[in-house]
Amino acid sequence: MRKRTSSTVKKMISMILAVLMIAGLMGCGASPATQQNAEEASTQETAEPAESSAVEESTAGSEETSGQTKIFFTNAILTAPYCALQLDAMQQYATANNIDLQVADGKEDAQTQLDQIKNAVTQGVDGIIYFPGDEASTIPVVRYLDESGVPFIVLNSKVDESVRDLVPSYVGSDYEEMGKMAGELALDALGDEGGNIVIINGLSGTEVANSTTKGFMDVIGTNSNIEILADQPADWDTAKAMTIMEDYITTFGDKIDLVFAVDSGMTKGAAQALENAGLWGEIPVVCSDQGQFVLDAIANGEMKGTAKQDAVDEGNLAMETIMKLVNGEAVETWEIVPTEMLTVDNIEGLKGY
Amino acid sequence: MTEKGKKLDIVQVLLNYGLIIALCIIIVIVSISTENFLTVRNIINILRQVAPTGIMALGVVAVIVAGHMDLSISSTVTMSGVVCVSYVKYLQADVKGICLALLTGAGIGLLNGAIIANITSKKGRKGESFIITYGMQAAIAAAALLYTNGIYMNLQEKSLHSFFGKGYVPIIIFVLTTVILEYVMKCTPFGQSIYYIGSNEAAARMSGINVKRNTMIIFTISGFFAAVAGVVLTSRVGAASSTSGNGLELDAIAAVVVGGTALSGGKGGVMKTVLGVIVMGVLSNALRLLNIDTYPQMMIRGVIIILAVLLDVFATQFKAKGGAKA
Repeated sequence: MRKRTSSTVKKMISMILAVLMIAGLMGCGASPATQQNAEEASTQETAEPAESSAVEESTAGSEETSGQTKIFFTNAILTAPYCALQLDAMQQYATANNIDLQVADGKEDAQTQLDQIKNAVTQGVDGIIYFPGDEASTIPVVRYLDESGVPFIVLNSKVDESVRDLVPSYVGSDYEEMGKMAGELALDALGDEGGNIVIINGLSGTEVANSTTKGFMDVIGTNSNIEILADQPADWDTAKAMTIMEDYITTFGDKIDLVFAVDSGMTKGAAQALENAGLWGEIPVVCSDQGQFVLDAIANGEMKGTAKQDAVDEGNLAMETIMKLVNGEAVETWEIVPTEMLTVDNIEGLKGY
Repeated sequence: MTEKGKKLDIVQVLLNYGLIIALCIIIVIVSISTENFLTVRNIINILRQVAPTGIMALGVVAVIVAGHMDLSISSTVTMSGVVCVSYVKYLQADVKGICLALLTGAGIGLLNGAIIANITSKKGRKGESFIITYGMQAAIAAAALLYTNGIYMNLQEKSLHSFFGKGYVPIIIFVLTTVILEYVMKCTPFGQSIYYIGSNEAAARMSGINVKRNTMIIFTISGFFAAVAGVVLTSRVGAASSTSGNGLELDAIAAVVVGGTALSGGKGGVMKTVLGVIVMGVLSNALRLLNIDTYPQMMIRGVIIILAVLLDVFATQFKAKGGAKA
């Protein structure tokens, strides 16, 4: 009996200690990242009051918002750094144009987003911005939005093909165009004599990887002296990209004239492998998104350029488009987020992620 | 010796050393097809590339020999990586960051161990470790996201931390962890108890082994090793993000099983796991050097894993049969 009691106590103490240890570590560990992410954190804080005020408004029916257009925004991945930047821009746009923007975190769940949208429709909003998660789960959400009669747009990622016709307007990047920018950078770097390219690609089968590569290939194809030595996926992972680059160096050595890494994180991996081999700066690397690593590398003169994919632009375009719809103006079925070549001359003030 | 006996010997040798023979065959084929494979630089590259997964595999082999499973190691790698890099990047506190990262890993392991050891002691529900560590994986992954807010942390400056991923250092760390764990598992009573717990927990308990305590220590080792891997990995790539460990747990577990450690517990070991890690590393490197397309590459890797497990099962069966005849 006594033995049992003591073992139970021991057991409990050990559990409590373990929990405390983790909690303590997370508590004290939170400081450095939190400090630096103060900006992002503040964005989220402002997001929450907007959400709760939506509820208050519906019950109180306050008069002060009567002149405002009410826009409801649900985002499946609100906490992603790209989205934090975007939300910030949208809220600034809303304040400047006297719009009541209500924000909800979709928590990567289509059902949550559907419930949020239903609530918003019941409360009465003038327009809805829907930032979806994965493609397949968008079907019921788009169907409901279509039946509700409230003007809506889809932001950032395409919805499932079967319901795409029901969407009045989609606001998002043209990845093929961005791939073309990277292709032009490669053409410039290699010149007429051409050369050999190795590609570090994103996750096979995703729209971003496929479209970006297609755009890149189309442009590269104009110079018959350019050859693709290899094209392997690193699944958007820095460590995998580094391993692949190391093996490219082993296999092809000084035959490599240029590296194309599809996103910023993989560019970092390639850069790290090149640096260890003493080749960073010798072999040009091109990329096709606006991550912080790439922006820094352009500012330092280590990279020539990249394609613009600006969260702020995307947020502003979303707000403009939904307002046009609400006001009955014509919109494109695909409002393409403008992209352009970013070089050291025009990256001033841009925010990466 | 009779004709039949000789034949039996050859089969036995083939089965016992099948993996080493397979490794040699891969090496010969690839060396013939590509000139850069068997160079010092490439061999060192391979060892550096496998070091983080290898260290993870070493931690998890103790868990697997004890008849348990630890899926949370991928999130532990991520979490310890972001803890470490946040201190290095924002506070220039390398030592503090690394120590905290290691403590975080050990803490997560201890928490796993505490939960699982207590469940196992009640009615011996052993298989639960699979799903509990799966839950832990999800929870810690979310914690890492909350901690970083999804920010990609890039390190530019050279520091003490970047030393752990450069040159021979990751390889030395891998070798050191191998030697220490091999000693613990082969030469200490605690190490022996891991095998007893894995093969027959009830018997182990009756023979006076403190199963609960030892289970907790085993999971703590696994978490700690995953944290070491996290530090080495972030140092190697010079960056950390809230997804950097994703998927690594299965690479590590596959290496353990390919090496010949049975998931049912009680059988296997550190050196086998090192062999498994090297086979998987050489295979991946060879497939990339041969520039084989992605989908066939994935298929070949899958088939090799299945074949390695089959080989091990046949070898065990054959030995059991041979033993019965003798």
